[in-house]
Amino acid sequence: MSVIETRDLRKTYGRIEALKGVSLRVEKGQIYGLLGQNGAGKTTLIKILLGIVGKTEGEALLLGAPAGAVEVRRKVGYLPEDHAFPGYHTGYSLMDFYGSLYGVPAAERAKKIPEALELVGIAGRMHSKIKTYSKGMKQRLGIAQALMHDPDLIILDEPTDGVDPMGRKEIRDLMADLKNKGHTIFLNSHLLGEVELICDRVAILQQGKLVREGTIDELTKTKGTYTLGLLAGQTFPTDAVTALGFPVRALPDTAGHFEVTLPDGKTIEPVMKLLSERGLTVVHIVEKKQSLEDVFMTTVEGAEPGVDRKRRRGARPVGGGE
Amino acid sequence: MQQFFAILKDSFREAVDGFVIYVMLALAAVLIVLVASVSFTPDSPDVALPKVLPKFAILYPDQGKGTFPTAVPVPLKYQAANAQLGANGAATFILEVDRDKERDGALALPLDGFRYAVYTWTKPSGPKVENPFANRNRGPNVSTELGIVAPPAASADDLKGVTDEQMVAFLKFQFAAFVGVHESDVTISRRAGVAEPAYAFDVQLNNATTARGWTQSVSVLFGAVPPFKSRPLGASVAFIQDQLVNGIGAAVTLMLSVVITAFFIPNMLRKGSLDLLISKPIGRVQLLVYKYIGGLTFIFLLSAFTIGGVWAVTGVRSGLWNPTFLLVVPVLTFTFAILYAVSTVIAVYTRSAIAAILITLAFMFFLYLLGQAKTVFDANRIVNEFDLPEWAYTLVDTLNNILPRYKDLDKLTTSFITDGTVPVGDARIRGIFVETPSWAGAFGVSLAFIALMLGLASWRLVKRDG
Ligand SMILES: Nc1ncnc2c1ncn2[C@@H]1O[C@H](COP(=O)(O)OP(=O)(O)OP(=O)(O)O)[C@@H](O)[C@H]1O
Ligand SMILES: [Mg+2]
Repeated sequence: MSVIETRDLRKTYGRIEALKGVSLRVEKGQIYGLLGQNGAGKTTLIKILLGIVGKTEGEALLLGAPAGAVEVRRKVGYLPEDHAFPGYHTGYSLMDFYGSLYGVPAAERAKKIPEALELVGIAGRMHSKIKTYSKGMKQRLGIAQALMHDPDLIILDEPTDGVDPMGRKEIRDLMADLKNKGHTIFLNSHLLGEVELICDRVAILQQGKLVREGTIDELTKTKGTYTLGLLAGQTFPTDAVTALGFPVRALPDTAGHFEVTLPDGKTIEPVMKLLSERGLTVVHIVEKKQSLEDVFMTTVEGAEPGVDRKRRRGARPVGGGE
Repeated sequence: MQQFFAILKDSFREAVDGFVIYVMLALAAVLIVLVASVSFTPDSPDVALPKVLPKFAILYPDQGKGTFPTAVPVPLKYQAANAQLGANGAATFILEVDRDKERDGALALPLDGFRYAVYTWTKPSGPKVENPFANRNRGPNVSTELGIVAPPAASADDLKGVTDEQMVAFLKFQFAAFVGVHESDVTISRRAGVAEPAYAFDVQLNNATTARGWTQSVSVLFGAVPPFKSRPLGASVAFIQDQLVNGIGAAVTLMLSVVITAFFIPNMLRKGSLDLLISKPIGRVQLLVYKYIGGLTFIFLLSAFTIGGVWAVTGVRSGLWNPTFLLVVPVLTFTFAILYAVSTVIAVYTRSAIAAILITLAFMFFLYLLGQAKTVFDANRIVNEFDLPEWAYTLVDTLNNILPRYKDLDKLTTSFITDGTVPVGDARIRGIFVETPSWAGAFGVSLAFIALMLGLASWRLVKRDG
């Protein structure tokens, strides 16, 4: 049984098509990242899973139960984006309130709440009113409330939003730790570097459609591109290398560096041979590996423009919210 | 259950976070202290008895078991002589009964008024008297009868047959009904040597000065303001409990509570808050209903504090412990339940606390006006004092039938506070003028209304996205 499964999931808000047939599957013990531009439909997907908004068509299953079923939510922890905790609570009392809603017994709450708050680093302020918390503290509290009842699945909508770099690292470590304990984590994030560091699989959503999906390795797999640099004063034989069947491109940012792409099934060997035959000295050779960011950029560029660019095409502007 | 209490606790936290709750608690405390400052001092028999004895003209037939008095009170003069105050508030005096010379000349009465009064008291109730002015064409449910019964006919022999024991039993009942003493605390014997139709009796009333119908002088602010009024104890306590607390106090409490609780649901529905709650394993309807009950708990606790406090201090200060006053707590909570149901619907549809407050207060005012109109119209059906078009009656009746009986709830509390404070003879008189509404009508229609409001609110909440 998959932890999350959607089949051809569609959602329209009035005339806005937020999801246009999304099918994905998240297995137990994974950290799964959902990427996409603003307005791509990431939050909408999560809200459907939790029953916060209704789906228009298709299927969504959470731990085997139809999304929106009340009881299955007992096994899910959720950190929404743009959350607003009631300011009259203290961190502790809020956790106590939510813990009771999850059905955690009182004795267990008394033990787990300080532990969870300690994990996210705000235990020292747990008896202060939330209205006195900083943005990052509220975010940490949000993470703590999503995991204190020991849920099978933890859904985090932009978990490191507003958190300082040290804190982000702590949260990454925390997620890795949770994963090791067998929890499944599903997260939305715009911080691709982070996603690359912790996620097992990622999916890229573009205007309500899933455009790429796979493990990090699969997505960032290099296509065989090398950056070469010659001794100062020497000229790169662009035409000759191109004639060998290797596309060449001068890198605009670093003068004297050229990017050579290998055609399928070939190695860099013939190029090196040609250069040495011509008496040229290679002082820089690096095999290029794509970052997730590169993958993301090429993906969204290749696909339809993001919502924020709709205006340019003369379409009506799309506002956030309701 | 755990979820229910969690939400109650959450509502409670929310309520005590603002300052209005402290204003309300302070007001309640002021009210309790003010009531506690009222001192009661029993009047001497010379002052108290002349105030209560004229009520003896009111006759409840069927040995006092008849709820409605006879139509023609017999004009008699009841006077006390040689009044003395003994230990434990016991009063001893000679009760003299004679014809009321100023009044009975005008009426064709049997010669012996007192014997006739006792005779009437012993006989079963006659038929109710028809109201000659009743407007029969308006309102099928309106009775054209008055709350008084016809007196029996009596022959000279009938009157002669009245025994001394019957006279004593009658007077015992009158003392119990209008002074409020227990019949077992009354000792009466007829004095010989008085020529009929005048009568004299030796009377001893034990525990008389603490009885509900005995007048006591009232001073406020712990005696700083000298005694300014002398009234029957029960009437004073009824004034405090009904007019002051159940009237003004309750209205203020309801309005302030509407204001405080109006924020609960819009706050819950705010963007960023609702998602956190509905992602928990709890249904939306459940969430809303629990939250609604949370609002009611708030006023329940507040009124329990205020009413309980006033009840305790009036009990201590006056010696009159009236348990029916405590019923104001559930009735007030129920009244608030009606208002809060309106507030909830408005909150769910507009998500604005201000809209919820304004519309709820307007609705409260409207129900109040409707209740007043209903009372005036019903009275006019009997006395036909002014001419009203048919549709006006239909409109007021229809609205009253379908809307919560706000006024009825108030009438109910007033009637049970009265029953619990004033002597039974006085309470029955009040019952003639103020109709006690049915509990089923007052609660049934209101409950249906609450269910409808919550249903509408739930429907909207379930339908909406997030
Ligand atoms: N309640 C709503 N009513 C109408 N439209 C909505 C609503 N919620 C979201 N949308 C629209 O649905 C689309 C997807 O929104 P969603 O919040 O899922 O995007 P997202 O991928 O989470 O974006 P971001 O990265 O900015 O959080 C957007 O076009 C948005 O305007
Ligand atoms: Mg989002």
